[in-house]
Amino acid sequence: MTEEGKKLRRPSQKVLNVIVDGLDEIDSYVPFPRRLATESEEVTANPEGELSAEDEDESGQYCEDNDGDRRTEYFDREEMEVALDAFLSALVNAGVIKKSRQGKLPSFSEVFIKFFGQDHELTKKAQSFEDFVEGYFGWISPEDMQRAHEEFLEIYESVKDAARSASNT
Amino acid sequence: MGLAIQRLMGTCGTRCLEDSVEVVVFGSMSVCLERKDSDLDLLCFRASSFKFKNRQIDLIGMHRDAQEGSLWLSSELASHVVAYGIWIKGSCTWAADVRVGDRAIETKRRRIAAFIKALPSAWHSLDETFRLKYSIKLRRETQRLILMEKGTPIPPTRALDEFWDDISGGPESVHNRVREFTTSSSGFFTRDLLARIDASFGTCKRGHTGTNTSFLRTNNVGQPPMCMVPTEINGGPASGDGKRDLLSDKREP
Repeated sequence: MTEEGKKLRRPSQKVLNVIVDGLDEIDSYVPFPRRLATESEEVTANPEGELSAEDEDESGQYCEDNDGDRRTEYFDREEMEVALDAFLSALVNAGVIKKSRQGKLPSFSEVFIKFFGQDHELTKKAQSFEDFVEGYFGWISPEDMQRAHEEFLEIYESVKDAARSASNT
Repeated sequence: MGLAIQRLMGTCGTRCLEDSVEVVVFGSMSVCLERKDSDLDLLCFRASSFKFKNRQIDLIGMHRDAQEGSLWLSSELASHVVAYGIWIKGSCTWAADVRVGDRAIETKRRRIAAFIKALPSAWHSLDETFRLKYSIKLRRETQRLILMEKGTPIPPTRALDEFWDDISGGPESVHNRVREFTTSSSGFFTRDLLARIDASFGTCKRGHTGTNTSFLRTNNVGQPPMCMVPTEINGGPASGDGKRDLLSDKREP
């Protein structure tokens, strides 16, 4: 990586908005644990957040039924691959990135290197996100998916804030 | 070839080869189907696992105990290596135990099904580059699944692209198999995907009639490995991500 590539950059508002749109694409295709947790909360918790009667079995133990299944569910790596390509497609369609001479498009984290620089905090988070969703034998563990989602949310909020600041200035 | 590999890999990679009890060349280069930008695929068995990759070499170093394990012996890669690999160090003592296993077949089925489940909702928003990528990927993965179910070793990706008629009798089997996976997908997605897959067969086959395909192994795996040295360098465009697909189980112990 050249010194030029490492330098922190500030992308234009247009680029930031397109990245937000691309991240929305990922969010719409990937069943991040947040969404599953929200659904299960609706089913299993009363407004005070306490377990309802249906959540306990006869011995009074916490019932693992549907909720438990969801928490241990592995995710298809393929689903994430399609979502990341939808992200890149949003950027291509907006004319923000284009194919190299070899006909290749950048990866998710390479987009952040290109627009924010190698040493930017967002680039590191994007690389970390990629590591978490790399999967093993085609599966992403619930723990890795949870961590990936945390990175994703931070990236999303940071880019959105940056876009908002750019529009104010 | 050993000296050439050592030159390409530097000290660290060379030490890995020296420590290995077996070193095998596999993939397109082992059957003289490489393109100008193909890399050299190497598998070695040694005291500890190791990975090395640059633009010219992709080396998988596996623990030598793994070669006796059922996960390895029943994997897609093991069947490919036994059928098409060239041993440049040591010799293969485990070929007779290699059989494509149910687990490897189920993994392949799951992978295809997962793509076909995820793609329809994204199909409209994907750039043409990616629609092309997935139609090629699904065609190749389905070809591999068909071969695995027959117990046939998976040939290098370029052979899937260009010699499918010689391997398994024509594109209809792939078309029909993909259709089976898409029964609950939208009509537009299914039609577009199948049309692209059919078209990719037409594109691949042209201009290659008369090519000697005697290197293809259409028999079941478990045969003794080949012992030949590639001498011809072929030109042409890159074969895409096929190797990664073939090696999707390469991290098996």
